[in-house]
Amino acid sequence: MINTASENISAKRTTKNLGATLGKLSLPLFILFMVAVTTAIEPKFISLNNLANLARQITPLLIVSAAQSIAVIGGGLDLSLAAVMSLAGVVGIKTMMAHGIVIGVLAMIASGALAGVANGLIIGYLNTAPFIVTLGMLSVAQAFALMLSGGVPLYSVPDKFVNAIGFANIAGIPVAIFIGGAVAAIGWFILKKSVLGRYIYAVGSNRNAANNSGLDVKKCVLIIYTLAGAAAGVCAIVMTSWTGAAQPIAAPELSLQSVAAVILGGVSLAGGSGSILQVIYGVVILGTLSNAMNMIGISAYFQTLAVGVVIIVAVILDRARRKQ
Amino acid sequence: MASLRQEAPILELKSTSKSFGPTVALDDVSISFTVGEIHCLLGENGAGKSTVGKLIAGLYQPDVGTISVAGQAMVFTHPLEALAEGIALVYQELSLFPDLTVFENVCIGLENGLFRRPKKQAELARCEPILTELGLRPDLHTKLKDLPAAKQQLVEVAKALAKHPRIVVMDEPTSMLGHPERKALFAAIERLKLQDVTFILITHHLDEVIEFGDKVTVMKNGRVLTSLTLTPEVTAEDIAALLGAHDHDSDDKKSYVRSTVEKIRIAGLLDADGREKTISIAKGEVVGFYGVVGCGRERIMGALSGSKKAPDLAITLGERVYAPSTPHQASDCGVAFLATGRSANAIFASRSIEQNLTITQLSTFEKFGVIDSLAEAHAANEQLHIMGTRYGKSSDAIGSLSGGNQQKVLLARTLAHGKEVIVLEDPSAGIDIAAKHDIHNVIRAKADAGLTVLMFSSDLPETITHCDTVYTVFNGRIVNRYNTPSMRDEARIIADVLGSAKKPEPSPGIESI
Repeated sequence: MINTASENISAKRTTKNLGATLGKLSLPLFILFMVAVTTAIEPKFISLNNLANLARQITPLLIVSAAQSIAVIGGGLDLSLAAVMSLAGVVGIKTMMAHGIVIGVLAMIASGALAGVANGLIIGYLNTAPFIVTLGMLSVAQAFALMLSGGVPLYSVPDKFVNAIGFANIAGIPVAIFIGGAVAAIGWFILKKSVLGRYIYAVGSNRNAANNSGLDVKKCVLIIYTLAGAAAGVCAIVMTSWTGAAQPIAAPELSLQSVAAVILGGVSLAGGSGSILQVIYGVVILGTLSNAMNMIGISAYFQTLAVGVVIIVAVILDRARRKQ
Repeated sequence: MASLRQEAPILELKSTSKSFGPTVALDDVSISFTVGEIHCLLGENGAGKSTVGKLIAGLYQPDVGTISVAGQAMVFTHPLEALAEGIALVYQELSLFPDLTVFENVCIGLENGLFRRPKKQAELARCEPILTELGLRPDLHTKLKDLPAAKQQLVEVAKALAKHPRIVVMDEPTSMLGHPERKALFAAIERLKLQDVTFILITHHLDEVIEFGDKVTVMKNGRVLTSLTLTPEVTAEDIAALLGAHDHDSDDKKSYVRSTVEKIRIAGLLDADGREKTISIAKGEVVGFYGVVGCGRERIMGALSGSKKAPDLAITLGERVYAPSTPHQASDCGVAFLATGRSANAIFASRSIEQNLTITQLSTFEKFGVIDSLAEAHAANEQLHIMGTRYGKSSDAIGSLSGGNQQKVLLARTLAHGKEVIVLEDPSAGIDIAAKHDIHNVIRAKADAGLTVLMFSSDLPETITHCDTVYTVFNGRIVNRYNTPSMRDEARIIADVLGSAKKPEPSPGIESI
């Protein structure tokens, strides 16, 4: 069984290499295709103004997807990210009102990380299913956000905060994009270059094997969800500074969209493989798709349909590519 | 009549070839199988044995050549078509459902129609004899995942045999079996053979070939070297010579000088008479614990490896109390564990050879948590070389290696963090003779350099030949201790672990406890 499998693999290595290269390029090519088609229909799409706008639009999804990538590669899933982000926003803005901007920003990251610690402890140390635990955390975080805010958006966001992050540019590029880029870069670095990243891949690839080889699997899971929660906190900074409000239910679609971006980026839901770079392409595709359809003037109903179809087709193509 | 039957093969491969891309798996292979024979296929990993099995069972189709059943040329495009001709395959890697019961697992594929209610009684009647014969009757309604590995493998066999095939291909059916399970399996095979069932047995075990085989076909590099009828005159040495392997399992073990430095002390065990018993293991000693499935040696292994706590055992490692609750804690004490069941318990299938190897030694190549990938690749290649691993690039997928080479990678991983002690469970299950030899050599060399090795193998010859000391375990108790055991102790060891131990006569090798 094993030896024939290996014969199989080595035999297909040449074709596979070609296939892998094509596979890696398929997402960027698709992005170029979308850009070309949209520009042909609506030239304003390619304007700097719109591209900056587009980049800003996809930043929250980029941050949450980076977090989701780590969770999925580590063999799990985090459905609570959007709710944790809302909670972090509410906590942070309330803190900001009392203690100033810096402490408020730190409070956002800390409260996000804290929710992640809760997820990680329950999933890692009590050995429970990430799907269920983070689904529960979704409700818990949401409830806390509603209770703390009294169910209404908090608009008392300091102008300085909004101006410094939400609407500031560096070299003509919105600060939010730098934050999103930094989160993605940190995620990439952790996964590709660090010991921790190697452990995350190992735990996601085969938890039993990781445990048997003496890795501290529980601690690793704890760190995975803590990082994801902290990233949700960072996303809250971007969201609150841009919208000028802390919404108790900020962008609930982000959690599932991030799962979609991760799948679109070719990360296996089984864990243990995939890369953030590909996920970024997935994020760009989803973002560009909705931006482009807005520009062209396609109805919102049809947009939802199109996003769904793209995700399903992407998974089918990915499956076919892997089988090759 | 008998001679006529000899001449009409039930199954024949005529000049079959099979390639996967540029790799030639089978090259002009012709083999014929006679009704009611046990036909063994021998050869190293990668020799093409499993490919032959899969051609016969319809998983693969030959590129060239024909397969004929009872004289009729057949083209199977799917295993179900082969099954319809009465050909069943017992997979090497289990193809079972962990959450279904033994009964449900065995009956899968016997249902007629998706929406018909399964006829429990009829199914039971069909499966029961074979389950009883293989000793699985008491576990009928146990979930598969709750059974030990050996019994799971028997379920895999039962699943195939319950379909009442006339030709059975078995790929390494005994790799995880202990002595009693193996005995039950071959009893069933011998009985079915009398009912004209033909068995094609893919194996690495020469002793099985000699004891049960009627014919043997030796393969190498995708070709048939020779097929010969196993008359009583043919010995294991003859076949080993054909394989080009030396008889590694010879009895001339170098006399072992036990170190006076104690490495491990296990207190809280019981001896055969139920008295408290303490075991002392020396630095550099290779110790085997041998017993049948469920004998209680798993408890000792769990406690030593940290994979399962055993509160009633008091273990001392060096000078210190040793009670790890996870393999991670064990690892911190310099104890590493290599579990059986490569794909389920040891391999990171989605990662490269290098990453599979270095996962336990990343602290050697890191600075502030960042991996120095050059140093890592260097160390990986060096270690792969020491193990004699055959591989392309260390960045290739681990799945590109044969089973034996995968096992070498895993052993290297284990050695990397097992500075004091390594705990090995079935270290050479299902791998070819040459790889086995390499692995045993490395283990011996490490032991000579002071590493303590604890071997929990279900392979008795391996245990006897490669351990300095063997403890036999039965019913949770340590029955006997064999110092520098030899194959002459085999019968006595088997008697020990089956619970029919006699008080051994005083002999220098055995220490009654």
